[in-house]
Amino acid sequence: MTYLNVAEVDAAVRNLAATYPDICEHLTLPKPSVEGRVCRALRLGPRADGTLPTLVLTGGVHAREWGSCEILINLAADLLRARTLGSGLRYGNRTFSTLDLRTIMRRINILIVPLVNPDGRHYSQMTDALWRRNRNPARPEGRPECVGVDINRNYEFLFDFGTAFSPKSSIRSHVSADPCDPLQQYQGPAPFSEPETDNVRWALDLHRRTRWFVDVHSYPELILHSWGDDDSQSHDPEMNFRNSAHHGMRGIPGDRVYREFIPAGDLDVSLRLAGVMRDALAGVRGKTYTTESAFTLYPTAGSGDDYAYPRRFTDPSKPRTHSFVIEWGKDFQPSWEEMELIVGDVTSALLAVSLEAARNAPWQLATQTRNPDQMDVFAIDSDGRAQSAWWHGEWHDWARMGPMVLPPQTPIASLARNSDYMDIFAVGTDGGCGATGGTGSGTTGSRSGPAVRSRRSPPSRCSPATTTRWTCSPRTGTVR
Amino acid sequence: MRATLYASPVASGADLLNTLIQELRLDTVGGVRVDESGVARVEAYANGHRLAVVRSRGATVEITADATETGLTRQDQVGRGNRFADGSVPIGTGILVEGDGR
Repeated sequence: MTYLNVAEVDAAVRNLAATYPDICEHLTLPKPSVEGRVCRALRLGPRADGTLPTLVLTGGVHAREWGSCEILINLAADLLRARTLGSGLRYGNRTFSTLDLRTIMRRINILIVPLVNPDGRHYSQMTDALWRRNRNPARPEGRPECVGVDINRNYEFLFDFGTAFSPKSSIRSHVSADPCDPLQQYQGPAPFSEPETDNVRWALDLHRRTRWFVDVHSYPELILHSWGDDDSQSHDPEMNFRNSAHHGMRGIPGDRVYREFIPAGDLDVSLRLAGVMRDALAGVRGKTYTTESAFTLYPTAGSGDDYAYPRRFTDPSKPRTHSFVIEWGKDFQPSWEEMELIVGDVTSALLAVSLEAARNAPWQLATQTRNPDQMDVFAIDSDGRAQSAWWHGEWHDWARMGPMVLPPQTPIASLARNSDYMDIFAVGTDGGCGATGGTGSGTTGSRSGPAVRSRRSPPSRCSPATTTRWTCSPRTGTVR
Repeated sequence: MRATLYASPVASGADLLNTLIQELRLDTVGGVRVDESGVARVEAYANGHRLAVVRSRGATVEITADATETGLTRQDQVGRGNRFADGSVPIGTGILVEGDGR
């Protein structure tokens, strides 16, 4: 085996989808590359309706980091073959059982974009091995060295780095507004100016529950989590990338003038998942990758991981997407013998984070029957929002119930006192018992309306007196 | 050339390397790190002329590989043609195991 060329990557993706049609499909990304190559993704999982929590994996963003693509193709090939045969998988000393793989493939979708930048890979493999960017010739000014944009500086995140960052920051060593900068980190004329970045944005938006994002890069043996523009803090939500009052302050390590806000719960999840990947990788043959924030490596603007994670801060309809970068190996292009070992290392890490994601993906359900014609199912989803679905002659899909937000996957209980009244209960992180419900006439099929509301009692108190009342239509099951 | 650049003393080594990276537009990997002994270092890909300038500015340069030669060697390890043109699929590196694998 040797490194895959771009034609082989494309064929591998199509053939995997054709060989395992029950658990995999290939998707054509909307934008062809500037040299006309079609980019494809593989979607692994039990169904393709986009409702399952989804892990998005990208590779081949930087042209010269060849092995990222091999890692993701390997992951897909192994997972699909093992799942089809009902087997587990072993990489060195790290084993994933049959049950592990079944859990992954039943509870989440994995959307794999193995080669984001095919033009760049082709140029790197055939001409200039150290080429990093895409091959967009739009701004060369007649100079071949001015071709291309750094895809991982072209996302919409602090794109105007000259304004957003401190003049003393080293950001200017890691992104450039000059198409001819030998640094190879030209950001492009505008966010998402490049087809490759637009394709990744499409992949992130494809499923409304994209909860995890791992961008596979090289090197040196790191697992990075949010943020990339500055150190992080969890006490001042106003100190964030959207706040122009902090322009000119970002990107100085170790200071307290500016630190990027991350909710403590998100940071906990990021650290835990990064640790899961590190440990699974080490379990293969003892390689010790370092987990740290992306900023510890160096400050960045316009990177994919910093775009993916905070989308929900600017658009509440977006999911919470925990974002990571794996920087594998110690060379852009190790010998193939070494690369095969690295492929096993990183595949183990990606399977482990997939398994952890899958284990956290299932909703905690509560069910009830109010009358012989009516069933209700309640859940707190992985974003902590109360959802309900119901059957009344036919199933009605999940819909959100009011504004209440609880810790994700909070267990709940439900109770129907009679055909007109029902309650659901949940215990919050402070030990207090919350009851949610609503009031209203409830006579139509719509679930919209202001009436659903919640109440909370102090810790250690949970009694019927704390509940609120829903009025429900026994005919339609409508909660108003 | 692939090279590791070093700079000390402790107080200004990282600043010197960051200044050199920015002024010379060096293609670096992994950012500037300061090790336990206080020496700042960064890995860079640059031609001989740039590395000579780095040396002249007070940093130590250790050439670790001829990146051009390495690149050409690796390009020989890229597949030719299309090994999957017949509809076959790649076989992964994982070992299939039964049950819980133990």
